Amino acid sequence: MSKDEVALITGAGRESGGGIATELSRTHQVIGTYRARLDTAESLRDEYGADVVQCDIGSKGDRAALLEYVKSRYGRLDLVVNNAGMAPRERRDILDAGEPGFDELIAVMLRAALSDATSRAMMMERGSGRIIFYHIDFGVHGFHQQGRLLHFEGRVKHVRSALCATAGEA
Amino acid sequence: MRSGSTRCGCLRSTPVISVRVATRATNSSYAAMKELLALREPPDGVFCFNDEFALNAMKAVLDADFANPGRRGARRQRNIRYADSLRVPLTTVDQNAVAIGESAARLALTMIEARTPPRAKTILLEARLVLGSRPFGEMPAAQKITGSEVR
Repeated sequence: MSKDEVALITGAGRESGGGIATELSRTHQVIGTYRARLDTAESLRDEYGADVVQCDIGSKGDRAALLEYVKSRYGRLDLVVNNAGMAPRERRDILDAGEPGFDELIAVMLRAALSDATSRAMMMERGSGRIIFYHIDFGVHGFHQQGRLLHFEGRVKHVRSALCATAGEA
Repeated sequence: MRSGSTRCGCLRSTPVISVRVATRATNSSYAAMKELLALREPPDGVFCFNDEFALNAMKAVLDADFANPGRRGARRQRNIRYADSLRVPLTTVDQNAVAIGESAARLALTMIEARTPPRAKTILLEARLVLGSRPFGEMPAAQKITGSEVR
């Protein structure tokens, strides 16, 4: 691997996504996306030379613009770390969550995998590349009142994992 | 959480733990804290899920006008950015998410470069207990939450 290789890390603006971007910046030209945390994204740019791009990974328009940017500026994509994700904004029974919260969760956790398919197409043009699906699984711990929510979160992660695996197949 | 002492200062043999469920709505964790404060024996400490819950819990404590709110503290799971500005000491468990990400990235690169799938391994990363919003610089090993060990 060399710094010529380009790595795209979604959700690089904070916590473990920031750690992934930091580490990969040793070996890759890193493009990190962030949604709200401009301060940490700027730190990633200033201290590690990463290219940071604001992107709501749940937005179809943002995803398309991101990949177009990568293609036009770098012309290649060698590694994608699909890290961006979220927990429900309200930890209540999934049946009480309401449609806006439900839709946001699905958009970020599942629809974002569609960009993996586009990334894959970019990689196939060059004949190589990797897509990594990353999430932290704390296990199913919680209160019995949250049983359905936890079950739902677990299922979403499984589907997300399956989508990423499908997008990454050669 | 009702920990090891009673109002008279006697040590309990068994800690009493009270659980309240709250959502991310501001008034939810605030109300949950109010419920805890209204118990016949209010808690000695509160373990909160995240920043928002801890802040709302502290607000409830302050609003309850305790004679000495500084004696109470809240504990949460991560590491709040504005902890130094808080009026009630906030002890946090910093799970070091950045180190988790760095470790995961190294592992992923190793897997990419390996000709054969690497064996599964366990990596234990050290969490930090940040007492009263100040990092425990040279914390004795016995007080560390986990050891840093790679197998």
